[in-house]
Amino acid sequence: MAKQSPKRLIALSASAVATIYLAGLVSTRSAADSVSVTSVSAAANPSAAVTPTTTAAASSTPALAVLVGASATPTQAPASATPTTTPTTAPTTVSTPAATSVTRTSSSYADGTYSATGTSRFGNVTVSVITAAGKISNVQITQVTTKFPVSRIASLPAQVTQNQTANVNVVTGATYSSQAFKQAVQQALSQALAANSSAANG
Amino acid sequence: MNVVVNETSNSGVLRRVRQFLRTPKGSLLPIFLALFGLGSSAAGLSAAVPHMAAAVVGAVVTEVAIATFERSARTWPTSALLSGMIVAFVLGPTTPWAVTAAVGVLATLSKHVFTTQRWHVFNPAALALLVSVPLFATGQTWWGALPDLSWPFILVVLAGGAFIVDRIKKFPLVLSYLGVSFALLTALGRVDPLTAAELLRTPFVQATLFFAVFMLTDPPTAPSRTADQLCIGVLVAVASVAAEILGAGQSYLLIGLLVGNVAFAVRRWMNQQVRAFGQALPQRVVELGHVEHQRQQARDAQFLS
Repeated sequence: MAKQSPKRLIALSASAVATIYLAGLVSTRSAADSVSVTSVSAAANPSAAVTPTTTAAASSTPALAVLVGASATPTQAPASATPTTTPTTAPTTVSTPAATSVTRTSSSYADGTYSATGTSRFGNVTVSVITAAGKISNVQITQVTTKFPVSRIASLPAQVTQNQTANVNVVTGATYSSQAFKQAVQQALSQALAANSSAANG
Repeated sequence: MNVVVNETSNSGVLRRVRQFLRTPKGSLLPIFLALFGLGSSAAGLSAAVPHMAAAVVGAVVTEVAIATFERSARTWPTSALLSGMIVAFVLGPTTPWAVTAAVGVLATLSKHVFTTQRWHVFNPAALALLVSVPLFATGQTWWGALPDLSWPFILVVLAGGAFIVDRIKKFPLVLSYLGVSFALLTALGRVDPLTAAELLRTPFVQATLFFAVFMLTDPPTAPSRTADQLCIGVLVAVASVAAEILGAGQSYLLIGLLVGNVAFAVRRWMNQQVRAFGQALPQRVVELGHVEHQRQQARDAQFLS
């Protein structure tokens, strides 16, 4: 039978646990602050490159097909774990040279739908980016592996569409998820830029 | 007469309800309802209510069906209700209701599949949630731990959890788990500060606390003796942190718990074997005595002849 532990011992043990937790909180504060600083500077300086922390390990769990988009009329994107390029309209001819940075805005992206996947230690994020008239018109999270909740990064597609850049704020409590999302959007936009430059040269 | 009968039956019902609320399961139900109310304010009632209903219905209907099939005594499926609520609290509210109901079904089934004559081996909700990851590609949000509300709301989880843990006398288990877990994560901060920072903050710390007070302490699968509680608490903490480092992702808490369940089941089985041997020992001594007596008689007879 379980004996009731003395209340004083319980209180002492609970205090010790709280102290250990606070010690961990304090010792990791600089790491948590550095994540916040990175997200703030990325928002203030869109041309800054953000290097996501990724691992080579791929998830072996089945992918969850989700539809988390930024536009009012989301389109169904194909669920795919590998980057694919599926332009739906003819690329727009632009007079300016093709941009090499994904942060350039107007007249840089070939119209179409571009899909890419970002990876992190907690799993992958696949996004579908639709560009029209050289701008980002719609971003959707089309697939996630099951190692983190997609709900915590559900606001990021709207940020991309609003700011017309892949550099979004890191979500507190979903650092790796945010970074995987950014990586995926950057890859998709790179495809759009490449399609635009090949159309301009061709 | 009818009025007297009605009043008598009403008071009988009320008495039974009061009796139920005094039990540990009955004490847990209001706490879960409070967490559901608070968590729904962030998740949205329109998503949370059908989500919770699906998990509870899946678990309870399965329990009733099994009891009917086995023709066992009819009891209120309170355990299934609570397991279903835990499943709902861990899965995201936007999970398709059919998947949520299926995970509730799995939770009840696991209690009847992985079982001995006297107890079931695994925490039902934990096993079902872990299995649902490869089966249904589910995602966990632990919204029942109130991670989407401001940090003072964690006190609701702690207060409710402390009340239940005190009722079922599981403080050594909870405190040893939390202490070792936080210590290991603090140490991890030396090697991987970013991961440790995330796991010691919202939403992971809320999930850890909810897990410790409501899932780790499940009475049928948690030890009673203080020494066993301390050992299992440490084991679960080490296993869960190791699982996280090895890439288990969000399932690291569940994996740690199931490792603890297995260890406790082995411990109980060993205790059973020792008790059975101890009970059989006096009988064996008597039997050996009889055999020796018969041999002595045979030797005496041979000598005399």
